Amino acid sequence: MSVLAELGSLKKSGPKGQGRVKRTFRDNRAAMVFLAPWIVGLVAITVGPMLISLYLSFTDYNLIQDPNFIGADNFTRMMQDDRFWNSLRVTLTYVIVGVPLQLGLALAVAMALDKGLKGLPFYRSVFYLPSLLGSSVAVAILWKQMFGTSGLVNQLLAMVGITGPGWISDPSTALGSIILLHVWTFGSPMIIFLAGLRQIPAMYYEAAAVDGAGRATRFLKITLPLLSPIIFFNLVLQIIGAFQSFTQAFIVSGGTGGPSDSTMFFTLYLYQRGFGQFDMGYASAMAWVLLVIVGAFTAINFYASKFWVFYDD
Amino acid sequence: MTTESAPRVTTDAPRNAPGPDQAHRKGSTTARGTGYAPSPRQRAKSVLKHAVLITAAIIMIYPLLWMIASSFRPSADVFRAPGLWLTEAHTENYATGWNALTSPFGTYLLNSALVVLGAVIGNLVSCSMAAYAFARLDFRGKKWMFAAMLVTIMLPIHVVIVPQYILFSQIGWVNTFAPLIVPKFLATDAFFIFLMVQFIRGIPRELDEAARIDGAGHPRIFLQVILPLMTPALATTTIFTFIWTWSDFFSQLIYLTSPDVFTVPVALRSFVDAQSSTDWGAMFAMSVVSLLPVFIAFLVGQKFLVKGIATTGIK
Amino acid sequence: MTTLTRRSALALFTGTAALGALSACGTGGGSKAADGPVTLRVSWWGNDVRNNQTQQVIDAFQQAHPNIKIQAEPGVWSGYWDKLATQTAANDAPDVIQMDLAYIAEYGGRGALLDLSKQSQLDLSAFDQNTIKAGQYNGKLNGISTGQNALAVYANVNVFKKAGVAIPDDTKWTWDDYLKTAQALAAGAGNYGSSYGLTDQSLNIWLRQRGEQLYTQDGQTGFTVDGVASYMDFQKKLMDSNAAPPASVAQEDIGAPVEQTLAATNKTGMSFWWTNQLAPLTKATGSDIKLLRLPSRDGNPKDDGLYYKPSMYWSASSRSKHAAEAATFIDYLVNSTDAAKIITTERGFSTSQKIQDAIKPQLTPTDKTALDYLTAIKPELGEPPAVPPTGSSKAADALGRHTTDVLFGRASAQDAAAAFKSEADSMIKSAKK
Repeated sequence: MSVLAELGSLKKSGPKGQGRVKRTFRDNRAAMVFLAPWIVGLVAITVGPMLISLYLSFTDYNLIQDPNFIGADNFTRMMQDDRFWNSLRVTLTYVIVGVPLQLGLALAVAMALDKGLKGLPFYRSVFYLPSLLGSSVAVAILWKQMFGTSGLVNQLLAMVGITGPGWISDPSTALGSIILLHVWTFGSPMIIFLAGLRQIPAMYYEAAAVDGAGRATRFLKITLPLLSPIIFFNLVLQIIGAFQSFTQAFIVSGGTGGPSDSTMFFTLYLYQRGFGQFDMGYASAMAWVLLVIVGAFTAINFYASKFWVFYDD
Repeated sequence: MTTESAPRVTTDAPRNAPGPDQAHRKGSTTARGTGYAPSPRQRAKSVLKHAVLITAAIIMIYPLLWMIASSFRPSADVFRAPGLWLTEAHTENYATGWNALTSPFGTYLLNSALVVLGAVIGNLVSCSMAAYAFARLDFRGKKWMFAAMLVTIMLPIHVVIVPQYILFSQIGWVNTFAPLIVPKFLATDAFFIFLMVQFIRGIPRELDEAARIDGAGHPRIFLQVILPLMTPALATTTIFTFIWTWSDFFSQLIYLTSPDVFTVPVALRSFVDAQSSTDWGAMFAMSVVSLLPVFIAFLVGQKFLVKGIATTGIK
Repeated sequence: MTTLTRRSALALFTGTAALGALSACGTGGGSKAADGPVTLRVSWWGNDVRNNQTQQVIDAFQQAHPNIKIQAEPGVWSGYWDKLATQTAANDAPDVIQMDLAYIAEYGGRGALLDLSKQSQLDLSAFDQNTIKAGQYNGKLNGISTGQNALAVYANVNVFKKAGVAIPDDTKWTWDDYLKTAQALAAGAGNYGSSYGLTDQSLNIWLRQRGEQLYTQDGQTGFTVDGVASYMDFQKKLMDSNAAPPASVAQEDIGAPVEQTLAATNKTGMSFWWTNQLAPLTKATGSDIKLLRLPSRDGNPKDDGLYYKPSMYWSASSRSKHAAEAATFIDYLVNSTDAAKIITTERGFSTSQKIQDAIKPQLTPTDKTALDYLTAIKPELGEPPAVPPTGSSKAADALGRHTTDVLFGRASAQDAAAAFKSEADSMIKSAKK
């Protein structure tokens, strides 16, 4: 049977069928052993603080004095808070525009770098370097050198007669410059794609070549399906990460979310309310709203994955 | 479209083909060929490809090059003379920066190295174990626990840091590295659990079955079958943990109070004072020094990314 | 299943333990033995210069007080407040805390700071009433000011020369004169005549010139919408006349570190800074800088609304287990001539005559210039402004945001001013318990 046909019969990651009728949970013991560290960590370090933050979201906690229960006040105030809606809008824009751009670029470059290219390790390192810098304190300076009103980009544009705006200081372009910063640091998902591409056995491609398959067919029938668990992983986690994006906006805007709140990301606003305005109750409420939103996106992702993600198990 | 069975193809494929690409050059090779002569057209394409890549590379790392260049300028000139060209290299920034803070900068590098080492080992051990359970084992409550694992990624750190800090301060771990390392041994970086799960699910179960037939239990399957085959995932985990821990400012800021236990990101911020003068040259110099270990870790680690599944059979 | 109950029990345990920790007692300051030496934790923000200096002061103090050990916890401005908030939440705040005007009511107004006036170890006799008042909020002395600053117009002598403009007489000038000078500078020197004074402090000066103020003594906002709108209008006028940079350049200037600002790179003739920033700016510009009073509406310097702003404070945690020792150390920091000789003017110009005399021989030329300015304006100063009330720490950010809107043409000055006032009011209101 042809290799392609074999691949085509890979089980999709849908509900388990095909022969398993009775659930026996035969691995409970083994699972306890393997999961022990995670369970301890969950209970001792994660669950407690999470539950506390949930409780705090119904209080007026200001970090210094004892919290008082105030019911759903924080949530009703949130609904009427223009800056809250603005931060949600900014973050959604960032997620919807930035994530596909970054992942698309990461995949494209990973594919370009995967095949026996001369100097491959060099290119891989170079494309990954920006991610190393991405959250360092120096990046704000560097970004301003590039995108400031008299920065490099505008100097280059001036050479062709275009007067560029203040990319990071004009409220209409500031978010764009942060999205660009995000795309610039595509190294992380790129590495993951590379690792995933490496796991696809070369023999599939060779066999397909013998079958006479062209590049597009190889991509669609071999690469995409076999890479789909990794694509799915990157998609889920980049979306979660993008919703929580904080460091880059904080560094480039100096913590203000400026200019004019145009880069006031959700978690940046949350941080400002919590630590800056000592309104930790409100900040906790925001955090749980975010969790619900992100949870919804993730659940949709998982549901949709049944239709396009192929697992070999 | 059928073809002969797989074994015949592999024996006939060129042995030293560097990758799938080479085997598919039409017009100048056959499935049996052991070498090829690139046509002028292909060589031009290759040159073009390299040209594009190199240009892209320069654009990508221009900011970094600027920072390196600035580290060799006197601090006063850093913002007066934009651009990359250096008339002369001033190395005093490196000496100044190294000694500017309470301890020589090497102390902070060492502290960061300790924290990173702990974090990497912790993640590798605990996350791979948890991932094996989620990917290969069948147990009660699996769906809920998997969902719980994902939920832990979704809550922003700023709201859990205060309760966590209170917890750690009650057990006296503040101003030590414990709050930064111990959670890693408890698989709190669910990102890597999920990553490894996806990788493990790409490994065919037939290999597990084969090992079980040979009499192996789960521990042996985990150690001898799964772990070796998920080297790219382990390498990725190592690289990312290294880099993220090396540059994690917020947690390290909150938990470390005395300067002798400061780590690199906290130390770097010490150079910058919003209200009076900052020694930019020294700061850039130390930033470059801080980047070196990460970069080296990446160079070394990516070799393991290259190792993939060479065969699909273990017989 | 047994695993389920074990897990939920663990969760309950950690949950209650942590919740209990939130509301009850904590570990507090830092001390080892009951009878032995006391350990004080001291935190401050600064750069490496200040850190080294402060360490020297600490060493000297420990020599003079062998029963007090000091654990230094230096930090950086960015992150200092997050850390302090987290530590305070865990009842783990340092004993001695370097404090800022923007936050003193946030902590003091919520009971986190010690009332220093009740600590006999701190000698306040060297300080005048205004200095002490600057640290008072809700009737308690929450912090003692380390030194004073005042706002000034920095006139870059080289830029003035290049533009062929004479440096104005700052005892007579009005805002109109300021605008004209800025325009002349821009025309003559080719860059900008002025950058912007866009902080809440410069707004306060503007308001005081109109008989209003940013905050009242009883913790409310003390201005009208018109007061703020006229301030924003003036900034816009500066921009529209090309005397000051366009909106995006201005925005970058605000967020830039000192060395990268227009002022420091000789791109503007006049700018607004505090007196303790003279040294870095002189160094960065390589030019002589003259300190000028801010203009007033009628040309009379008594009406220019200037005041002394405490550059920072030393405070103590109200939950410290070593209040007496903390006060002793603070007393050393602000009253001891030994300490003063190490610190000189790094934390502002002390108002204590004894300290001023002690450090006179060590004053640098820029120190002297700044001190002359501070002395010259003293007779013209009015009432010191009220300490910003609890809840107002982010009001400065809000002001910046709304002023940016005006500069970019996204809002009219009236609307922006009204929005700012309502935001400031609601911040203060929601902080009241």
